[in-house]
Amino acid sequence: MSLLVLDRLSAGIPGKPILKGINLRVNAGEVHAIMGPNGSGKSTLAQVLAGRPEYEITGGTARYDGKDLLAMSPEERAREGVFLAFQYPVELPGVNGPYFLKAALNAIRKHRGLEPLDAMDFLGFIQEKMKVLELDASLLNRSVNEGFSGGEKKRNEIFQMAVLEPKLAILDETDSGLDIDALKVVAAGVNQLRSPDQAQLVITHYQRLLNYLVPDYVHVLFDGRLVKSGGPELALELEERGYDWITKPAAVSPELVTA
Amino acid sequence: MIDPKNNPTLRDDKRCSKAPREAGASNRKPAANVGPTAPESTPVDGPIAGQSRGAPWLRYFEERERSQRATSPSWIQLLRKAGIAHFAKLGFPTTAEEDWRFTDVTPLSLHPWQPGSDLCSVLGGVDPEVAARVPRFRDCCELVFIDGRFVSALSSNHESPLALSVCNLTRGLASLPGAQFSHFGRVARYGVNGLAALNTAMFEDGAFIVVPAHYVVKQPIHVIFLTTAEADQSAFHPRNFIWVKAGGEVKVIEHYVSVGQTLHFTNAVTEMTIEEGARLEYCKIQDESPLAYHVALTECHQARGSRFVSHSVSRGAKLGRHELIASLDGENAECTFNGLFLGGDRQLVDHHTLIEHHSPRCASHEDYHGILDGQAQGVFNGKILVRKEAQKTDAKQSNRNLLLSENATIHSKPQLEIFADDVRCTHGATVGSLDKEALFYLRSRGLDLEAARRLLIRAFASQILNRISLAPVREALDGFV
Ligand SMILES: Nc1ncnc2c1ncn2[C@@H]1O[C@H](COP(=O)(O)OP(=O)(O)OP(=O)(O)O)[C@@H](O)[C@H]1O
Ligand SMILES: [Mg+2]
Repeated sequence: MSLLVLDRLSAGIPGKPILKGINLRVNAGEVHAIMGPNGSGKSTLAQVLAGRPEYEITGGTARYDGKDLLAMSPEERAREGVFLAFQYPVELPGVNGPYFLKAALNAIRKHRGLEPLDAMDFLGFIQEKMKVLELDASLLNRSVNEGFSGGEKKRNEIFQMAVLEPKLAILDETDSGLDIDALKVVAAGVNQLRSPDQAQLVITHYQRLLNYLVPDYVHVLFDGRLVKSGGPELALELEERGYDWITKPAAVSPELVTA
Repeated sequence: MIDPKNNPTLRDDKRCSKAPREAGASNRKPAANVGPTAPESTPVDGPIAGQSRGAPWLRYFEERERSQRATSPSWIQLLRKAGIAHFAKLGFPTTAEEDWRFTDVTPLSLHPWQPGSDLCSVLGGVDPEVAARVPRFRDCCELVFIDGRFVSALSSNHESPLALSVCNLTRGLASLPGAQFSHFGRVARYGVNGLAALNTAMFEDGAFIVVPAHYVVKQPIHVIFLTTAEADQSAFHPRNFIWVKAGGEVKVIEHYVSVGQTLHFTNAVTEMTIEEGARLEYCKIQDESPLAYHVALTECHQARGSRFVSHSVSRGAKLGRHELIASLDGENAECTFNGLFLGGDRQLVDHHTLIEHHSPRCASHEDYHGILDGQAQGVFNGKILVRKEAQKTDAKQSNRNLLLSENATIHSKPQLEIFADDVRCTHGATVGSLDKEALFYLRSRGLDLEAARRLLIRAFASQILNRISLAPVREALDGFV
């Protein structure tokens, strides 16, 4: 069944349209990769799906798990199982990592009708996840993301994801900033979450990540529209040829120019 | 209005035969007012106005002098006289003075206060309900003052060698010869500060803490000034004295707190001397009634190699001001000023700090965070003075403010006066609201807007509170936010 259905979704900031009619259907169990040049709107799409209030929805619809996604607050979306791993995770000076994560987890558990975890159970639970992501315990005891290296921030995002166990995971350039070994560890963490009722939207610039997170579909986002879709082989082709052949109509079909 | 001829009246024992206690009722004659008798027209704000408003206090002082002459040591009488002389000259500060530009004490100076020393709320024993509300921190020992009066029954006993050196001021000053107190009355500069001068003339009781040389006081000393419902309309002048002798170490918490919503005036002065190589960690907590006025001066002299860490945390009073001064007199002395102030409604919260670098190779670190909501006004003024001799000074100052409402304001002013050439001085001030990105990040993890806001506000506060070394104090203050 379709977990996420976007129908002509358009959004932007006042005076600047960014997403110009996105159509996309993601079924449970699938991994979709979204690629595209800088500034094409990938992060905007990710943030719009997570409910960032600064973006204005100007048209279209988004249904998630049969519900109107756009009518939900960011926290409702999170509690319903949407998770965004940020391209630029926010530093939260003074916010205690375990405290924050426990509050988040228990808010989600409450929504799902589960008992809150107490401090002991929570610690046991996260220790397991930390092991999977080879997360250094000292990171957890610092303020969330404060002073973390680029790679540490990304690893921490996926650690949070592993703890919150979302149904729809949106990864915005999680690979950028990770070294080769870290990439493998993080990808293994993401793969561990895969299940028949879970789906992933993976935004990346590089085909390398897709060696580990093998996508069912690859889409190209350009100027606010999904202009091309294909299987994993599309990513390989993009790696080789870049985007020009898709994004410059002249290069694709010169005859159209004269028509 | 009160007839000035009746003013002031001192102790009247009849007032101490307690009438059945009523909330907020005060069991004394209204004749003991100190304060102008006729606030007829609003005076033009200027130094003259500030002086004339002091007149009732001068009259009250004379009366008191006459009745107390026999009881207090002559050197204290002289000090009080010097205090009142300065107060007569300086009067109440006015907004015409740069240091008081945003902090208007006109209402306070016009209010017909009754001397807190005339209160007898604790003479017949402390109400158990009040006793139960004395805030206590785990692992600390206490000096408890209720409505300005020392209550030994609620305070800790100190064993030798501290028996005579950690106690209430009245006892401390009486028990040792005056010559010992070369520091008492010499640290706080009451010659330039009218309210400190008034305190010097009128001070009642407070903490007396003298730490012997090379002695480390294990238990932090929690000095509590609690006002009860009886404190309504009263003025208090607490005076604290801290002297850490060479190599000694102590932690002191100076804590002002009210039970009930009383309109009272606290005018506190704390003097500190930290001798060579000695250490003092000091935490001042201002949590007075939302109707109260609280004005305090803390001044510290530091000798070579001494360390002074101050945490000033305020959230109470309608008008609250804390002036904190450290004078780095010897080489390699170091001071750290942390501050957290919270204001809401129409509160005015003012923190003035002054760090004077008089000697080479001293360091000062200052970091104040303000959180203001409603129509609150905050004032931060951080002055750093580096004298010509104070080469290799390292001074850092920062003031960050979080405004939670559009109507809250902050006046933040760093003031650097540097006369040495080989120094490192940095300062910065920021004003902002809650970070939208951070709020969204937290919400995207499932926290609702209110929880996310609270978490960020507490995080901002905790950046200051986390520096308090005493866990029980830190935990209690965490709940402030
Ligand atoms: N809040 C905003 N205010 C102003 N412009 C914005 C905002 N958000 C996005 N944009 C603009 O919209 C366009 C798309 O931005 P977006 O971040 O979605 O691109 P992207 O595809 O993620 O790029 P990259 O690959 O570099 O991460 C850019 O031109 C960006 O400057
Ligand atoms: Mg992006």
